[in-house]
Amino acid sequence: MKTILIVEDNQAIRTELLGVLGLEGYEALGAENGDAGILLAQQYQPDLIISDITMPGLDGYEMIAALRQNLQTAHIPVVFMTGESEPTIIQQGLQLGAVGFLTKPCPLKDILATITKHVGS
Amino acid sequence: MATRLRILILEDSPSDAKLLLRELRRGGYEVEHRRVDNAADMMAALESATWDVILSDYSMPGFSAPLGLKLMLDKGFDIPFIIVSGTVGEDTAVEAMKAGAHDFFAKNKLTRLIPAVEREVREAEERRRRHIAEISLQESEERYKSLVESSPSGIILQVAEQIVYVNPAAINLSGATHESALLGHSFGDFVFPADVESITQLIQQSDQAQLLRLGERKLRQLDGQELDVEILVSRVKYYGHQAIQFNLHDITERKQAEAALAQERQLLRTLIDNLPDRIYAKDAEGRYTLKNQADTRLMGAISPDEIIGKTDFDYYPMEIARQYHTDDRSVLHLGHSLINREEPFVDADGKHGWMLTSKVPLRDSQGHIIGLIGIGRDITKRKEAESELTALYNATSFLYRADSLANLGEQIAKAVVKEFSQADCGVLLLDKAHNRMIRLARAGSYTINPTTPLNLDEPSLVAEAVKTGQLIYAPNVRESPDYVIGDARTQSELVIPLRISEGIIGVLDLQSDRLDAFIQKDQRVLSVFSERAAAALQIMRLYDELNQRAAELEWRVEERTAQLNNAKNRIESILNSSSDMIILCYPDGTISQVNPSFDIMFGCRPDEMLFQPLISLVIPSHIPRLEDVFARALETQQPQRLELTIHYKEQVTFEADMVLSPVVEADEKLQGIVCSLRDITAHKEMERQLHQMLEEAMSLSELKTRYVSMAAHDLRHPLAVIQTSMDTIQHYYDRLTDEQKRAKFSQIQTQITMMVAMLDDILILGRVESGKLSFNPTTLDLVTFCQNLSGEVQLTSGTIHKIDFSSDGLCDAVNVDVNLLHHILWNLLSNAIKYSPEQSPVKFTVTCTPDWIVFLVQDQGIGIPDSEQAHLFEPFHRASNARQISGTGLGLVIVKQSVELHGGTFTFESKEGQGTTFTVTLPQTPLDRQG
Repeated sequence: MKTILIVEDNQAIRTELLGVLGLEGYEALGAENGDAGILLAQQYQPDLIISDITMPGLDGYEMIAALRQNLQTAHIPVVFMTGESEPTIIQQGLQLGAVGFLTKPCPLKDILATITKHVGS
Repeated sequence: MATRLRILILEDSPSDAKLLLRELRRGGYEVEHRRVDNAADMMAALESATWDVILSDYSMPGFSAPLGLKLMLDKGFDIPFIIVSGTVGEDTAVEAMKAGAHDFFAKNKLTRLIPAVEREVREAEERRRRHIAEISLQESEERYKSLVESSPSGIILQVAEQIVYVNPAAINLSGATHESALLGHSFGDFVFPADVESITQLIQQSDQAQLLRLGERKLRQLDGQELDVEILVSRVKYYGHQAIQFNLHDITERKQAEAALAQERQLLRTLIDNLPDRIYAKDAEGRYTLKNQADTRLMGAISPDEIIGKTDFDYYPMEIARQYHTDDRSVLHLGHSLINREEPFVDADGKHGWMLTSKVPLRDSQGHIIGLIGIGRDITKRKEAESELTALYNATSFLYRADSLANLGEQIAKAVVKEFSQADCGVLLLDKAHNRMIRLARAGSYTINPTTPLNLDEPSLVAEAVKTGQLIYAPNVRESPDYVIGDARTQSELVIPLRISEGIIGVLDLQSDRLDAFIQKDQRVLSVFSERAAAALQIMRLYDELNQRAAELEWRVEERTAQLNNAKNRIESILNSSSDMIILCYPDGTISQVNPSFDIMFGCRPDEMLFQPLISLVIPSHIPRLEDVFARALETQQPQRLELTIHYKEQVTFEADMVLSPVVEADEKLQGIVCSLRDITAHKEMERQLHQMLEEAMSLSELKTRYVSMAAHDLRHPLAVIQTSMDTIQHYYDRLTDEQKRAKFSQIQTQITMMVAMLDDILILGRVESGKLSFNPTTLDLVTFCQNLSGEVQLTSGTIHKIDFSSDGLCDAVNVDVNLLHHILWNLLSNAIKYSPEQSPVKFTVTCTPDWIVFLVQDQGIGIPDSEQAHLFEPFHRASNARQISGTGLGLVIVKQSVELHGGTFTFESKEGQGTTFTVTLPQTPLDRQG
């Protein structure tokens, strides 16, 4: 069973996503900010991380940078899902090593297609 | 009377001494004595007093008569030394006498004492007198010898034709070095042979006792040289022989001085005799004592000696002699010198003349006036020349009074003709440009007046004079090659150049019908006259030219003045009719003129601004700018424009548009600056308002853009939840339980409610920012309002919180905007509940004072972190510890704006984890106030 880590400070979104991933048969983990995300990533070695960018504490950029510094987590693909759609923000995320980008609000099929693309069905 | 006797007694026995003294007193002496018995005492006695006799015992213990005697002699005393001894042998006595004792006898033969003393005292006195006589004789001889030896006169003694003595001066005079060269010779060997006989005769004939003067003779020196001497002869005794003494005085210097004096006198005499001036001396009575040749000749004498001793009365007419005499008395009696007096004189031929006389007093060595010295110079010729010049001056004095060139020329010609009545005179001026002479004027007996110019290219006497600059005289014109016949009557012609320092300006052309009509003196006077005439002509020419120029200038000035007046009138009409204020400034920045518009605007009296600086019209901070621009206008000569604030005398203040235009005359000289002022206060105010409105619009637009951007971002979150929930329901409709489906719908509802709240907040805020949310107070029962609101908040929060409301003061009828107050309190109370744990109380109080209404909302919730308190009122800002609790981030912004619309204040105090207190203070507002 593949493990997906959701890093999102908005509790409603997080809860919804976790519920959907459970229904799709993934092991789904939730973190409310970057700090918690790193801890869970190290502990559970998820197959994919879906993360917001703007968060209190460590934000998405800082988190991905920290994950890349650690051999245990460096290989985990990260997909950003954010309210921002500015090209500069997408650019910066890709430069830091993100493998995909989703804009809120995002249709569920797009989210599931992205997950399938990176971890397989 | 007893004879006084001073006795020194050498005796060891006082009693023996007494015996001696008694014997002496018996002999009638009044004795004064001292007894000594040793050498030292004797020495002291000899040196301290004078003794007549020494009486000595022969032998004493430690002393003796021979020792005493020796002591006395050694000391050089000559005192009678008489030895009176007890026992005396014959040998001893002889020995003592040989040694110098004067007597010697035994004590038992004292009867010999008195006679011996008397004798010895007497002899000693005689010895003393003789000694004195010898010394004085010796001194006298030495004095004489020294006189003779040191005498500057040579002294030669001759006995029986043989020289026996010569003194050093005589040796010297004779040219010898030692007396041996003279001794044994005869005095006659040293005078000239011719003199020898006369000298011998004179000596023989002379009286024995008489001092014979031989007068000046010549001495023959040993080397043959001659020496002038004066010889005196006297007869003297020389060692018992008849001797002749020759005294010789060297008179060489005297002779030389006499010769020099004589030479000097001769020199002086020659000098004064050869001077052309009269030189004479008079004694105190006015008699001539000296006269030089010039004076002698003048007085008609052949030799000065003829006149010596005579007075002026012997030679001059009475009147002149009296004047001279008066002058002499002034010099002789008052000591006044008479210097350079011009006085008349008459010479021996009766010719009158003028003399320049100086007379000074002649004084003797005591300063008494003993006569006078006179010097006279014949100045007759000079006086004549002077009078000639005076006449000339009188004749030319009109030269500077003529009023035109033509008039002057005529006067010159007439003056010349008047002076030389037989001549005809023309005045011609040089026309350099055409190389010809213009005829200015003519006068004289010819009575013709040609006007054609005289061409200088053709030869003529005039052309010659102009060319050479010299006076040209043709005594006979027929013989002159340059003469051109003008008038047949002319026999002689004189052309005199008229010359000034710059050169020749013309000529005087004199013609006469006589041959050689112009004598030397005339030519001389005319030359001088022509100089003056030339100067006068030149001045008149300049004067004419000046007058012409002045007239021309005057005409030009009039024309220009008329032009200027026209221009001025035009400018003034522009100035007076302009609605702009116009100020004319001098280049130094002071005001020269203002127009009526200015006077009206500034409320000035006419001319009040004259010479005031332009900068006095502007506010101090604008002075440097105005000075800069003014300077630039001057420098570039281009108009300059600036805006500044005018302020004058606390009365006039306005914003002005100023244009500074330089006024440049045709000659490119800067005349000043025209400054035009326009009041642009209203214009500026409008501009300001427009600007402000634009700014406000800009900032509102900016704010809206920001809000839209932020809202768009924040709305994505609830939309994302709704999207996911919707998709989930759709996707997994079959797999979801009814419960799960209801939860999803509820979730969607919650998110929609939140979005509506957020949009409401944004709308409110938008209305606040754009000023559309107005302040509309109404009377409100505040307590009831607050209680109702508390209940609403509690109900909608869906949680269990107790709002603890209390009020203080009279709050039943306050004027507030209900809408705004609802926003304020709703936000604060719902926040207090949202950010506090369930069950924790929220304290809500309202306090009314006459001036203020104070609301206090206090919770015990999560508080606000210190670092974030500063950003609390920024739109969409949410504290880091509030993320889990839904909110728009706009509530407090709306509260703040609403409080400010009331004119109140909004503050808070907070500590993270402990709680927050918000305080809203609103002023009590009168009902009629409109926001």
